[in-house]
Amino acid sequence: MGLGLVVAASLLIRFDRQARVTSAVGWAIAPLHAAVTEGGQAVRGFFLDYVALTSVRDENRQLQDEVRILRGEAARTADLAQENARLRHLLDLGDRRKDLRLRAARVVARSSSEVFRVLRIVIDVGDGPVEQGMAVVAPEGVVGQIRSIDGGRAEVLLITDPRSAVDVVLEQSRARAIAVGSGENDRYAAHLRYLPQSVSPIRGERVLTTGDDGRYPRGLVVGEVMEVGEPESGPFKKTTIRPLMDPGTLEEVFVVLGPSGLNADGSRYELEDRKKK
Amino acid sequence: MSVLLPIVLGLFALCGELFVREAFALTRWAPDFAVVVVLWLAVSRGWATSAFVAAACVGLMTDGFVGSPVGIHILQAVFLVLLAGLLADRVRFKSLPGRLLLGGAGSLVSLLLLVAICRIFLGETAIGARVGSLLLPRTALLMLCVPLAFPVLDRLDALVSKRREVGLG
Repeated sequence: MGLGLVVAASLLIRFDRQARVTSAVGWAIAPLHAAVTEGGQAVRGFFLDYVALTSVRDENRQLQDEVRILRGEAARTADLAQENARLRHLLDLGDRRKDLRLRAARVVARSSSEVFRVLRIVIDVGDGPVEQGMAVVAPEGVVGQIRSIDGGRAEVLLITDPRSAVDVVLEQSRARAIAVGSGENDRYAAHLRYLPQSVSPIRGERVLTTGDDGRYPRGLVVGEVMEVGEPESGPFKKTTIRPLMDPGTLEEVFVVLGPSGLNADGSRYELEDRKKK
Repeated sequence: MSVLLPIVLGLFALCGELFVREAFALTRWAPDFAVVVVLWLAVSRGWATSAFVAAACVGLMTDGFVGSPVGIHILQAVFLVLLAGLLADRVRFKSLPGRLLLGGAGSLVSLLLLVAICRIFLGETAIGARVGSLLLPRTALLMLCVPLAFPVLDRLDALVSKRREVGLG
């Protein structure tokens, strides 16, 4: 039987030159072959997808960790950039006002009172004693005055506090007045007292320090005219100004220690030069 | 003795082999289940007619699955039954070492037979180099598969024979 089959198979190979029998067998097997192949590939695809999904989950977790770290770094960088910009802005004031001896300070707290407007600062940069009553300024303008000192910490009375009074002059009309803090609980503002009725302030006009009160140096911006009231029967006009600095966002300020002995541009007084000659 | 069971087993073996090959993207390390069935036929049935017929059928199906000219794997299967049947009279393949030996020798012989048949009938000479790289993995796999598969195949055969006897009885 075995030999017979050997001979038959040999003849089949020899004489199936057209591969008709091979084609027929292949055709008969093809559906089963295709089904099994598909099944195997499906299992393999499922396995590969599962493995891929597992790695995707791990990768996702890793990427989320990285994103968290990078977000933290980005926030720190943005914070540093903002601080850098603020300090640069602050230094501009030092460059513009070389006639003043300034000492930098950090704002660490703000008054939670709705009426009293006070800042707390830490004086940690620069030399020179800080005393009560010294002016506190920011690049945008006057902030207030030192109310009390406790070691390296000080409390600043803002110009919007009702206890604050600053001798001021309107930039264009040169009319003088006293800026007294309004103490309003919904905005930072100050009222101009003793402004003559004859003066017509323009909305947006800047209000500057006169320097005559012996506390605030001359020429610092206190704010700008915000509201001009209706003429009253008295001799004075009611006007409200708003400070250009925003006490709610202030982070760094300067304490004015006193005059530096120089002009604002850094040149020496002509008088001193003459004396030397 | 049933001819149908080895043919069905052979078909399952070929399907299983193809499935494993596709599922795990195997090439060299794919087990040759059809050869396991043919070896089992030779050992369990010797030179019985049913063994030759079943082996030829398995060979024919292998040709269909593999895409080789019809007759190549028929010849390989029939020769395997002849050779293994000769050995079955002299060696006891019931023990584990005997089955390991049968798996290893069966794999080597089946591959050599394939090379020889292709060379003689198709004039194919390059197949020798291709088969060379298969020797080690196929032999190792068959040495593993034969001891595992034979008891299962024996059980199945016994089960089918018993049913037939009961049916005849």
